[in-house]
Amino acid sequence: MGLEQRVKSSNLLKYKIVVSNLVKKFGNKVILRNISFNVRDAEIFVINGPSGSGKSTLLRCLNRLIEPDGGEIYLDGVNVFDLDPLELRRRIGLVSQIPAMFDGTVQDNLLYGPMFHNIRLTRDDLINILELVGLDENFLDRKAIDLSVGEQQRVAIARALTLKPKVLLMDEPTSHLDPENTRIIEKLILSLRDKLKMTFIIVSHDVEQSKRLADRIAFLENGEIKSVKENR
Amino acid sequence: MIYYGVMVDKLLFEMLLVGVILFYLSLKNFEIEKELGIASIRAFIQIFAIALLLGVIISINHPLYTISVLGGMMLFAAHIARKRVPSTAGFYKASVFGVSLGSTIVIIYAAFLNIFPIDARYIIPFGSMVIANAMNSTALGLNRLIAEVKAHRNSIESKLSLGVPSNIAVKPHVIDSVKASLIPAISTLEALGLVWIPGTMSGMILGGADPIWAAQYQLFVSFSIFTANTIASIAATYLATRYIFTKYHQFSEEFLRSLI
Repeated sequence: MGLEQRVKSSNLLKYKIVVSNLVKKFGNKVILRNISFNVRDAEIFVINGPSGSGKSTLLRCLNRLIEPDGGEIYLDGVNVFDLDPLELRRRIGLVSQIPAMFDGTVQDNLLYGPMFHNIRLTRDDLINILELVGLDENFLDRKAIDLSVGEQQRVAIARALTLKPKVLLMDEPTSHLDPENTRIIEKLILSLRDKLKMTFIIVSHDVEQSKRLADRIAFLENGEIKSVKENR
Repeated sequence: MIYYGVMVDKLLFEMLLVGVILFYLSLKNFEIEKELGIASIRAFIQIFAIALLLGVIISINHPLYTISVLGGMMLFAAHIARKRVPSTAGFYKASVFGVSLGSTIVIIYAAFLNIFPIDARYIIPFGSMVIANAMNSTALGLNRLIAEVKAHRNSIESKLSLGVPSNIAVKPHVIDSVKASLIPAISTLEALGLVWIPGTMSGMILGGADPIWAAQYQLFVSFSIFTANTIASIAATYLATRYIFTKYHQFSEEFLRSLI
């Protein structure tokens, strides 16, 4: 291995996520222009920016729900384009803006993902995961669709956690919630990072929320990262 | 002496009735008289054109011509089915595949059972009924599929985010689309004989055939149509999902653009 390659690979291993020169176009419209940033292990990295700046597109490029047109993304030093996209999405989870509950109970929702990855979870495992998001055992048998939006969002987070992801992407996770539930979800994110040592990449248009949550804040405008600043 | 039958003069009188209806619709500002008028004229020209063509094909009775006519009908049917669906790349191929597969299986099966002689006179009219119905179920299935995926995009994306393959994530919506596309065919089967006597049976009875004999033919045609509808709808909707998603289990950009 040459010196240049060794330097590159040591840099890649230093960070949980490395994004280099990421480009995304829809037709002739450039959505993301040469995006580069690194995310540390167990960091809460918030991407802030106005509507239409490309935040959600950037987030979905990271787990390849949207295919970038150029650039590189590394997870723990591994090029994500060398991974099976389904396996990548097990390692990098996503919680979307509006929680989408699947048919059936909360338990059915929690077991849905693991079923496709041959992960066996006992009822006790599910109770532990629910406790992480502040819900008790009684929720397991409740119909997911009957829960409040705030509870559904916590089930959506728990559902992502069942796959033990290394990184959790969150797209405006509180934009549909009232102030009380927003506070609960924010507290939850901070506690999950401390308990599970997980890395979070969160998209938010709310500057105050970004300051409450982030270790670092990236500001995205017109598909370009304008700045990345330490917040703590 | 009274002469029974539809001759050109009586057909013109019937068209006069259509003209009166169109005039009434125009008078009351329904704003569909133009569309109906064009459709009526097209139907008139098309049916006489196909009658002339059929006359030639039946007299030649060569398998190549028969297959060409059926193939042409399938392509037109797929084109019409595709036109009823919001523009999405690949859906024409899905329509062609669905209509052709459903119709071909049913036509070959009917020929294999010796329901009628392998002759253009029988195969083309039977084939046209099957193809036309397969076209309707394909259009309904694809239309519903687009609506389902559009309405449940967030839920499908949530499943993809959990590393679930796209064919599994979209499966409930494919099933709902196929079920919805078959509702008219099921209603038709339910109403058979009770609410209406369909074309084949009516035609045979009008032509002097024994009603029991005509009923047997009608049942065979109805079951064939239902089978072709089901195969066409399943094949087209499943194939269409390959154009909705990429091989990396993402929504395809063409599909997302078609929703805008």
